[in-house]
Parts: sequence; structure tokens; C-alpha cells
Amino acid sequence: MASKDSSRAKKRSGTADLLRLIAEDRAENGGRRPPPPSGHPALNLLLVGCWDDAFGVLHQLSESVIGEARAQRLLDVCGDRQAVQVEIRETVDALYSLGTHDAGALALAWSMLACRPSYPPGFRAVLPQLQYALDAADLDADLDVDVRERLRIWWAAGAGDYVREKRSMFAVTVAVLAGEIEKESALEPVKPFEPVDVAKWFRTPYPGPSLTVMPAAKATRLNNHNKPFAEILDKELPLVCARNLDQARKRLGHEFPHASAALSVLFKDLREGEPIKLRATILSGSPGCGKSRLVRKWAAAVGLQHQYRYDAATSADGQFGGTSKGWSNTEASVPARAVLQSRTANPLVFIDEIDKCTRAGSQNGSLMTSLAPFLERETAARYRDQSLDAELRLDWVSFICTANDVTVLPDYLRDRFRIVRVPAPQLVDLPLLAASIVDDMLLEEGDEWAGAVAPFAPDELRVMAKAWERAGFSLRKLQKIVLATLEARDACQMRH
Amino acid sequence: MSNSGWKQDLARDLEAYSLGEEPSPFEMLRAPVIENWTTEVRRIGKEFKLVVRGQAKRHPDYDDGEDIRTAAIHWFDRKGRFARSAHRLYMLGEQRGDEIPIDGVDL
Repeated sequence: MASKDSSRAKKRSGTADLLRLIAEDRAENGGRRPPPPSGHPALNLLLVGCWDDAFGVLHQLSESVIGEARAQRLLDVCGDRQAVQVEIRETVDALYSLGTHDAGALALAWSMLACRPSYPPGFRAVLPQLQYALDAADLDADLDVDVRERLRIWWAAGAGDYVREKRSMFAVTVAVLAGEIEKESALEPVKPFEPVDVAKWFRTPYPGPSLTVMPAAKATRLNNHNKPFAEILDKELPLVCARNLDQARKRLGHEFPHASAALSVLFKDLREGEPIKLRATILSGSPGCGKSRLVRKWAAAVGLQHQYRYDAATSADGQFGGTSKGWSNTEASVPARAVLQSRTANPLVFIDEIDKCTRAGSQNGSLMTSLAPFLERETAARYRDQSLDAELRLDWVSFICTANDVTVLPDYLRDRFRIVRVPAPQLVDLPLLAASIVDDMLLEEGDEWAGAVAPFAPDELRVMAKAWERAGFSLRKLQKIVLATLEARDACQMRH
Repeated sequence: MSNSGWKQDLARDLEAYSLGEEPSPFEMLRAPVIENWTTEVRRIGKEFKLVVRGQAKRHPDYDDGEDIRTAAIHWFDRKGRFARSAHRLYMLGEQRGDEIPIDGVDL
């Protein structure tokens, strides 16, 4: 009788200890009220904040039930994770074999200690039982809410939400409640593609070199026609840097074998990884030697995504330099528009057929005269655009022109431009040129020819060479010859 | 065949399991078996439930070998021998292995 009393007293003291520990734990975690006693040790264990506490509490509670020897063994293996797990499992078996109500409850509590967030299946023998125990337990409202909240975190761990956590489930629960761990599921589906907020992207600062093209200090109020320029007003615009120069050099050399001298001049100004600024250049050559194409390909190859193409042949006045602000529909100069369009400080302005524009000295002004101030670095750096009435820094804008005949250009342009001759292709360039034409056709004209084009055979090349020689060495003619050859090949192909 | 006392049955069974008992041999023989089973924790709103999936055997409502998914499990045996849902006891056969069989390797 006396021994029974003492064991009961011991058990009561064990529960008191548990409550004290929980109270301390609570005090550490924000000093909330100690939980009122609830019958089930497993539910009490949910409130504990770390594995060691849980182990200590449970050990004390079950010492009398599992016997001295097993309790001592549990303490002995402490520190060795694997051994503790094995011992805990044996303890659970032993407790279940006792067949009493308390032992069963303790067994459930002990099996909670064996759960690890990194191994979600380990939870399956615990969670349904715990949930059932909680549903059956009659807790007071506050405590019930708290315990359910914590059990939900255990369930989430059982669903695999915290598989990357190395901590114990008790510590993870505290961390989740404190908001330290966001739900980071390994099984979470990949987020669908989110469209880029372009406006926001423009607002973020550019990490590379940049330049304010249109400082507000030197600008006046924009009128209605120039509203779009508000976007680059007093804004740092990125300077595009040259990239992949070696590769570009090699590729363009293959594509334009006849223009290797012009290419080497164009590449001479560039340094890998530095902002692109080209000396103003005129590519002069006979019609159809691939100048325009060369410029386009070169710009794309070195990383200039934005080139403002301006056709000089249709330019009959000086609108290149912008129209006066006082006019009813005023327009900014072409380089300023190129900057605005590209949102970069160093776009490429490509003036095609500059020798075809209206001669300087015409009544309406001329491209040739209005072009002059942009070519000199000194003046371009403080160019006052007459339409914006703002001082712009346009000294990083690059100009490339093509021309068939540079002798018609006034001397101030010939002085400002570097003139590079692009020779007409020769017969030796035919194989490479024909191949690059075919490549471009495949790339640009869709899949009409895709997969159908074998390299040209020597006899085909010989026929093409004869035709090309007769037509004069123009790339436009060669394009037609290549097309005709492919069509002829298609027509003569053996079909089954 | 009505079973209006299923709640009491469930409570009695869970009580017995928590006392360390196992289903009786008669119940075991009578219960449907789930072969090739896996467990899965599913969300129901804020709450969760554990279900077992696998191929049924000896199930009164399904053909043998049919893929089934149980209702919420209220007791899952710690050694994976049986699982008790609200209305039914399931015996668990082989657990589904995640390893790739040798002849399943595509070389």
C-alpha cells in the first residue's frame, strides 16, 4: 500500500516537473502562461521546444513504468543518435507490451522522439494517433488552439515540407512558430513563368557603366510632342559593352571573306567588356558588295542590340538634326531618338547610302550639314537639341554609313569620317559566300529549305562561278544564283 | 448491413491498439489487404490526413489488384502491419519499394 502511494506521489512530481519545464520553456519563448495539465503526455510533449527537454521530461515520466534498467540504458546511449533511435524503438515496444493505458500513452510520446523532419515517412505511425488523441482530449480552448497549431506543423513535416531541416522536430516547430522557417517544400511545384515588369526593370539601377544623356539641369520643359523623352530625363542609361569579340571576329570573317580589311578596322575600336564607341566610319564600295548586311551582322555580333537605321536616300532636308521647337509638330534629332528608343547611351546610328541624300547647300537643309555636329566628340558631348531644347551628351553614339561614292561628300564630312573600302567579292570567296547565303536563307526565310540543303558540290560551284562572273561580282546577283541553283537541284532531284 | 455503431467500434479499436493490442486473427483474416502500399499525407484545407494507397486485395468493394486510396487513417501501426480508417481495418502487405528493379533499367 505504502509503495503504491509513493509511486503515485512520484508520478505526480514527474508531471509537476514536466509542467515546470514547459513553463520555463514558455518563459524563454515570450513568457506566456504555463499550460494547464492535460492528460496525455504526447500532447504535452508537443509544447516542448527542443528534443533534449522532451527526452528529459519523458524519461522522468516513464522511469517508473519502464524500470530502472531500461531507463539507465536510455541515458547511456544518449548522444549517439542511431543508438538512441534503436533504444527508443525498443522502449516503445516494451511500453506497448505492458498493456496499460499510461504505458500506451507514453509509448506514443516516445515514438514522437523518433520522428525526424528529414524522414517524413517516420511520422505516419505517430500523426494519426496524435490527432485522434487530441480530438479525444478535452483541452481548454486556448491550449487546444495552440496544440492544434503545433500538430499542424508536425503534419506538414509528415507531408515532407521540412525535409531539408537537420534539427529535431521540436526545434523545427518552435522555428516555424517564430516565423524563421518559411514553408520550403522540396515537393513544391515550380512556379510558373512570371512576366517581367519592364517598367520596374528600367527603374532598377544598371550595374555596369552608365551615362546620363539628358541631364535635367540642362533641359527645359518638354512640350507635348517630346513627352516620351521624360523617360530618359535625368536618368542614367547603360552603356552597352562589347562582348564575344573573338567569336564575332571569326564568324564574320567566315561570312564576309572579302571584307576582312573593313572588319578589322571596325573591330579595332572595340575592347572586350568595355563600352562600345566607334569612330565614325563610312564603308564605301561598289553596289551589292554586302555593306548594309555587314553592318547589321557586325552590330548584332558585338552586342549592339539597337541600331537606328536611317535611309539617307529619302532624306531631302535637315530633319536628321531635329526640327525647331517652335513648330507645331516638332521632332528631336535622330541620335536623340535612337537613345530614347534603345534606352542606352551608346546606340548605333546606321546611315545607309549617305551619298544619295540631298546635297549640302539645298534650301531645306541637308543631312550632310546636320550630321556634322554629331561626329565631333567635342560638340556631340554638349549638343543642344533644338526640338527638346536640352543639352544632350551624344558623344557615345556611334555612326556607320555606307556609300557607293565618297567623292560627292563635302570635305568636312570626309574629314570627320574614316573611310573604309569594302572591295567587291572575288571568285575565291565564292564557296564561303554561297554557304553563308544559304545559311541566311535558312535562318531568315523560315523552313522552306530546312534540311534540304546539302553543301554545294564542286560542279555546282563551278557553274555558279561562271554565272557570277558574267553578272559582275555582286552579292545580290550571287543570292539569285544560289537560289536558282537550289531550285534546279530540287527540280533534278531523284525521287522515289 | 448497417454499422451505425462505427464510432464506438473505432474508439474501442483505437483504445485497444493504444494498449498495445493488435487486431485479432479473425479480423486480420477478414480485413482487406493493400499490397504495394505507400502512405501519403494530404491536406484538407488547414488540416491534414494520412491515407494509404496501393492495390486492393480481398476488398468487398474493389476487384483484386485495383488501385485504391483509403479514407483518412486514424491509426497506423508502427511496424506497418495494419492501418485503421474510420470504417475499416486494412492489413498492409508489401510496401512499395522505390528502388529501380534491375530489369527496369533502360540501358
